[in-house]
This record gives sequence, structure tokens and C-alpha cells, in this order.
Amino acid sequence: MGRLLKYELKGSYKVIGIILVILIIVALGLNFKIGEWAETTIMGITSFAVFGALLSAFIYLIELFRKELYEDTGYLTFTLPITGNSIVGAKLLSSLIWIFVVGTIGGLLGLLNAKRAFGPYVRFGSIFANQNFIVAISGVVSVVTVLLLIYFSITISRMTIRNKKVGGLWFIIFILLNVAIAYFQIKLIEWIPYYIDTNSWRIVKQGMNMVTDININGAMLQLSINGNVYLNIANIIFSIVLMVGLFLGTGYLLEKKIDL
Amino acid sequence: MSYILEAKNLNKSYFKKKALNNLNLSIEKGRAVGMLGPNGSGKTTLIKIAAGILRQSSGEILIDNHEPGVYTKSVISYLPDRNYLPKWMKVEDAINYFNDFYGDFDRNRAYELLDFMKLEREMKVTSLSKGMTEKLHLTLVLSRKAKLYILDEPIAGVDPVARDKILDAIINNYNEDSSMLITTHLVRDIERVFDDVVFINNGEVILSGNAEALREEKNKSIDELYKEVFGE
Repeated sequence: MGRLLKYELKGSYKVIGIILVILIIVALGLNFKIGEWAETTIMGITSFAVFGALLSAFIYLIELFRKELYEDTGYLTFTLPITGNSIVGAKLLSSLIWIFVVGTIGGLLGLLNAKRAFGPYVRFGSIFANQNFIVAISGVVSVVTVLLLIYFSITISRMTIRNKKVGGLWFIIFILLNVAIAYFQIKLIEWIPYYIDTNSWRIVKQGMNMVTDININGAMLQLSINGNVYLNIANIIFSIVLMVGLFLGTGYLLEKKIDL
Repeated sequence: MSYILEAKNLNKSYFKKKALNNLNLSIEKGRAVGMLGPNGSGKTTLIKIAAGILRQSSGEILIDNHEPGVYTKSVISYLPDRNYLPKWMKVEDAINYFNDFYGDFDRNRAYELLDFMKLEREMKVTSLSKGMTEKLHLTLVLSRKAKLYILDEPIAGVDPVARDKILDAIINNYNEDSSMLITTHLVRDIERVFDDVVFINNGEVILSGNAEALREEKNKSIDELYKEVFGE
């Protein structure tokens, strides 16, 4: 898997580099406009640029996976003496590395502009708070799950229809799978209403009527009750099983079922 | 007798169309076999199943006594009829790629073949002409010490001078302990390479045997025999 990861990174660094250069030029350009333009305008455009960079990188990375199944480079990748799991693992890791790089640089540029625009109201230390750590972990789980769901959907789509002109089918499969997973999660927390209270790290039982906010991030599900974050234990287990299942399922289909 | 490839009652269907129809084929170790047939006869389908990138609908295929999978991919050196190298690569990247993934890849042999083919390591794969791309693909494939070389239309679409060069490369660099399966419909240009030939049409083997014995028995070249069988 490491060897394939090396070539995945080597083959994609130029496009990611271009995205980063554009993002840095836009963010630093905005930095010079602080004092000239309104702070909210500066931060609005900065956020938009960071979001745009992340979205562009995400779409490009998905396209790299889709191309393996629909373009001629698949004849190279799928005749290598490696398992389907290695292929999925290399694609997933390279995507995570690039999303992390773009996200970190985008986040730092955003903070830099915020610090100059709003001055002492922005404290860098606050991003390492306990609750933000949980949000970060659930964010990583969400990105991994969404990527794996997309890989799985593209693979199923390729097995169903070989014509590359009907390439959008994977998106319908992806939406349907998301709806099914979200529905199952809601049912699961009704059946097994035991939570980890992230303030005290104790297991508590809560009814749905107490919940003030539900946040489904990919497969992770967080409940907020009066501003305090609770993680449903059954859903944490389900998220892990789902990730492993999607990884192994996609690897199996790529190795044993794909027809080029 | 030991075989590098054995296909038994192999079938492949695409909806109602049968690409392979109860195909039976055995290739002995150490032989260069020409698989001959017109377009759409099932040659590429069989090759893709052997290479592990297409599944049969029914029947069995064994490569070196293994079903297609990670092991068989490590002993097969496959030349597809596609331009399969990623656009970002240079010739040197492609050499490094094969060297990293295939334990039987011989880097020095690859450099010798590059010189023979008049290709430079710093060339970008996107800057290569069709003939040069085919030469690069062949360099990569023949630089492995594989048990089975599978070449799908290795000289299709290249000019006669490049054709001769490619055929010379196949003959000079082919490891005689290995076996080779070559598909083509350009029979006259390539028949000197074959030990055995298999004629395939509508997904079935319609004639097979030792190339020299067939020439003597039918008093025809393989190319003439091909034209007679397929009515060209």
C-alpha cells in the first residue's frame, strides 16, 4: 500500500499545489485589504475561499478514484499484484493527507486574517478546547466515512453500468445510502439510548425528548442537550463497523468483481 | 505435460451477447502462442480474464495452477491495447513504477530496451507518439522476467518500421523459460514469432496446433490459412 500511496501523492501534488497557491494568493490579498474593507467582508470572502479550496480538492480526489474505474489507467492499477484493500487504503490515505494539508493551511490563513481583522478577540488557544477536540475527531470520522461511501458508490455504479457516460449514477447511490444510514442511526439511538457525556465522560441514559440539537456528521452522530455534547455509544460502534465494512467491501469488489 | 494457462468451458456473456462460448484452451510452458481472430472474436475478452481484470460468467481458468488474483498478476506481464500510463509520468517514472511493484523487473534490461527503442528517460508520456508509446509499453512489459507474457495487439497502429523494431524486441528479449500469448489480426507481420497458433471466432477455438505443422499440413503460411479460415 505504501508504494501505491507514494505514486498517488506524486501524481496529485501539482493540482493540489495549484489550489493551495490560489488560496494563499486570495487570503494574503485579502489581508492587505484589512482596514480598507469591512472585517465581515474580509472574513466572508476568506471563508468562501477556504471552503472553495477544500471542495475543489475533494472533487479532484474523488475524480482520481473514479478515473481508475472508467479510464485506461485502471489497466495499470488493477493488474498490479496488490489487494483491493491496498488500492482503497492508498486512495483513502492520499485523499486524507491532501484534505488535511489544504484544511490546515486554509484554517491558518483564516485565523491569520481573523487575528488581524478582529485583533484580541481571537485566541488561538481556544481551538484546542475539549469540545473542539471531539468535533475534530468526529470530523475525521466523517471525512473518512464520506470518502469510503463515495468510493463504494462509484464501485457499485461501475459494476452496474459499464458505460462511462452514465457516470452520475454513483451520486444517486451515494444519496440513497446516506438516507438509509441516517434513518438507521435515528432508530438505533431510540433502541439503545445510552450516551457518553463529553463533559464528565460518564455513561448516561437520555430520552430523545431531552435533545435540543442533533448533528449528523457523516456517520458520527452528536446530540446536544442544553449545549452539552453527548455521543451515543451504539452509534459510535455502528460508525466503526460502517467504516470497516465500507473499506473491506470496496476492497473486495475492486479485487474480485470489477470488470474493466 | 505442464501448462501455464488452462481454460475449461469458459463462458462470458454481456447481456444476450456471448463473448466466449465454452472456450477450452491450454498453453504449454515455454511456448509462444499466437491467438488469431477478427475483431470481436473474443481474443481480448479471454486475455482480460487471464489478466484478472474481467470475470468469466462460468467455467474455469488457471494461470500457473492458480485462479486469477494477486499471485497470477505477479507472474503475468500484460500489455493491454490501451494507453494505460498516467499523464503525469515521465519515462523514468514508469520504469520506477514497474520496478517498485514487480519483483521480477530488471531495470538494466529496461534501460537497454529504451536505448534500442530510441526513447529517452526524461520524455513525458504525453509527448510520445502512438508508436513511441507502444515501444515504451513493450519496454516495460519485456523488462520483467515473467512466467507468462500476454501481449494484446502489440503492433496495431504503428508504422512498418516501428513494427519490425517491436517484433525484433519481442524475439530478442523473450525469455525462453517463459510463455507468451500474443493476439493479433496482423498475422503476416508477426507469424514468425509463433510456436503454436489458436484460431478463435465467436468466442470459440475453431483451429489450433503447432504453427510449423499447420504450415506443412495445409501447405500455406499462417497468414494464408488465417485468410482462408476467416474468409478475408
